[in-house]
Amino acid sequence: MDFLSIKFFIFFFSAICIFYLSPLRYRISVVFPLLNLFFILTYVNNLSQLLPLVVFLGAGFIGIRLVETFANRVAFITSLSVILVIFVYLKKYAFVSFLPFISRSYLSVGLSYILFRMVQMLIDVYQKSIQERVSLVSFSNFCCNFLTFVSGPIQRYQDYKLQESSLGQKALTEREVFDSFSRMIHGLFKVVILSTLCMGYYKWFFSFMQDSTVNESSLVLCRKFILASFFCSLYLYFNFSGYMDIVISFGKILGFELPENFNRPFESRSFLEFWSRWHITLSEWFKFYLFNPFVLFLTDKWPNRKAVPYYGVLAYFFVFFIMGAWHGSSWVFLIYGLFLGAGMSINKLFDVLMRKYYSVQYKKIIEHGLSGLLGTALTFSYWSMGTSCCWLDLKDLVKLMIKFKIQGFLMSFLLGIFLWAGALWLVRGFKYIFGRGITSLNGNFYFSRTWLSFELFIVIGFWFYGFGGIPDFVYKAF
Amino acid sequence: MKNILRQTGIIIAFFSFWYLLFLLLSYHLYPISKVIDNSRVGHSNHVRGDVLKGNIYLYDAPNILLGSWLSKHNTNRIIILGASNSVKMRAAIMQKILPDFSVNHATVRGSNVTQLRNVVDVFRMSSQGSLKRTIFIINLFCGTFINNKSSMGHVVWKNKNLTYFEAEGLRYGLYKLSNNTLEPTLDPHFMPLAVHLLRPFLLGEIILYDIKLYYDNFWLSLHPSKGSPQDSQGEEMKRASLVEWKNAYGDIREYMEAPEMDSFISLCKEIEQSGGSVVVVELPTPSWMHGINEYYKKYISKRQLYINKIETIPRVRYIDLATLLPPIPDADFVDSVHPTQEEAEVWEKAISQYVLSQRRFLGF
Repeated sequence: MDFLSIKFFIFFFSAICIFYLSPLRYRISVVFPLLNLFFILTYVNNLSQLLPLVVFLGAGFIGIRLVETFANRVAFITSLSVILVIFVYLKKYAFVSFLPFISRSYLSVGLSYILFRMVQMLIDVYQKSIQERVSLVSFSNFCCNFLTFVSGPIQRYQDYKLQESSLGQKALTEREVFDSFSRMIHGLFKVVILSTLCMGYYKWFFSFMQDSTVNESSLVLCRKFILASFFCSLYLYFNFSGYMDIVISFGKILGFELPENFNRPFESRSFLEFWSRWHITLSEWFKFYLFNPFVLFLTDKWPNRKAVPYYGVLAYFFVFFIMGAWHGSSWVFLIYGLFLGAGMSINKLFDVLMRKYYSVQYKKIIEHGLSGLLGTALTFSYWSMGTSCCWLDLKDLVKLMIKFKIQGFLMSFLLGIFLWAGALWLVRGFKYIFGRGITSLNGNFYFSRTWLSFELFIVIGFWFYGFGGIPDFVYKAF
Repeated sequence: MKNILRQTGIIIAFFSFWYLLFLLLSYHLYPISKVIDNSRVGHSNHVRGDVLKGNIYLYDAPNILLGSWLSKHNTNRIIILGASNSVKMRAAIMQKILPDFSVNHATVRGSNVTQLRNVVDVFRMSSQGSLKRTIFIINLFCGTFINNKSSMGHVVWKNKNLTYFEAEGLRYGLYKLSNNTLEPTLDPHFMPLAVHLLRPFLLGEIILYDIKLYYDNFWLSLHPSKGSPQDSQGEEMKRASLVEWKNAYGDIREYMEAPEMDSFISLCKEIEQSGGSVVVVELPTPSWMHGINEYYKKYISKRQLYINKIETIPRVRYIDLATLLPPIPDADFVDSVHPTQEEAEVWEKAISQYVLSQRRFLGF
């Protein structure tokens, strides 16, 4: 079921009614699993298409049971390996293209997110962070929660379980309900309008870039490339964060507190900070279950105190390479992984060296407003260039590399810093002049409702206008 | 639950305020008569060059798709069909010469035979299958016989085997595709009501279109070489035009094939069988194109075949406008096919006079 369809909104409001009108004791054990099942069934034409998902979930549940029962390394590694093998097989990754894949179509939506949840449960059960026995109902509700099924956010089982037990015990206040509706409509605005416009512009610049003749000046070409990259980044942000706004607000109305995935990422002053603000739950997952164990492993293996910060540099490269590669099944995403890994490790190395040799000056530089602006622009420019892996296939990327060479990319990067710094300066100026007024108007009952309903009106109008051109949720593919 | 229902109610109430406000504005700024005769199409005088190609259907098609349900069915009707070189014709001019007809302007840019059929089907549906008391003026030129396959990206929408016109029909949810034909999803009696209910959102589209138009005009004023009438006779424009034809029409071997012509002839027959009449008008093109455009040459070599067949159908007339009018200088065209506003009005007057002279033959 498409989140941007009338069907989904009918489903959601029916779900609220059914959920709140049913007795408290049946909400989690009966109503919620049925709602999840109904939601998932809308993605398939016949039940056999669900079979791979059932096998995947079954393997995960059996694995968790095994680890709970035997609580040893063999059970853990065996279970983890089986889950990963099934996942790689079902996702049809390019590096295992020699395998005989299932030729019939099957449901692959949400597989990556289910993997994250199952692996997290498996590790936490193994490490005794999850003490109580995981029931089948809790497992299926957690893994197949219709709110987070398609693209997250990636919640921890422990957090979910806490909410499950207290679900429906506290009524939502009017303010909370209004805030949720407000966020939902803002989310729709982001997805339906802003992401559509940004997608249109990035494709526009991209087509210009493809049409570029050899004789075109390199500055013009760089400008096209960086603008296409910027709009692609903005498109990804509005699309994904808008989706999160919708999902989190829906969850809130049903009584779930889903974790935040974005915290104004384009205000990040460094690439390190960026990943604590962008796709937060994914970054946290990788931090908990890959980065920390990897650093611990290195520290255990080579216990040298002076080397520990440099282990972080190495770990960042490793983790972000994996994270980048996870984003797609084609080879170009390995380049994306290298790009992310290089960005994080260089940033970390710079941080380590500056703290070591210029500690006082570094602190002063960091706190200076201009360096903050520059850092933010540099981060955005770098990341946007990385996202070109999401809209160029390997062949086009190689062509671009040959055409641009190092100096071309460098020129685009510098141009990007200049452009984004200018844009930020304008936004900050606008906020400085109008920010207080807007905040006080938002506090007014009539103004806030009038504005929100106008936003909804515009969203519906644009929905008709952009028929067929409104992008689907970009992370649905994962 | 109480709070959820209460807040939902408040937002719906505020939403209704905006909805009603825009509904009233739509009636004030864009009355029903304008929807039906599509007279705002005069804005498209500025269509030149490549800059205005995006979203053009958003503007024309809704007027026809939705407005047709509001048109008068119980009077004598004239429906003007054609492609972009007909959009400058104005319903009001023909209306003056033929006052006892209700004139509907239903030209859609980029129309080929498939899209002409789409428009005819919509008018047929909106008058319960009958086309009695209706004259279709079908403006043709060599571009009309472009097939869907070779015109990918021009007529066919997002490679989904839909014409842009069909895509427009689907996006409001008022139509569905059944056997490759648009069918209304609602009972025909409710269609006019649904069209009225959609008006606030259509108004938004028109405002957006106007904003885009002003932007494009501004852009053109900054880059006069991209589309000024002065260079319409220039060698560069001629070369660019031929390249554009090649891009849109594809392989010359696939152009003007028998199925397209047969489809056009059967369209005329269907209209006649549904009780309607047809005037097929061959629109003029600039003389410079005749010698160098291979598509035009092929068209001329095959044209007589379909004219012979068409002339055998009752209540169907064919005229070559170029023979009715004095020689048209190339300066009266803005590019390889589109006339200037003044020239389009001359054409329309000539067509109107022709219809007037042929009333009896056409069954009126």
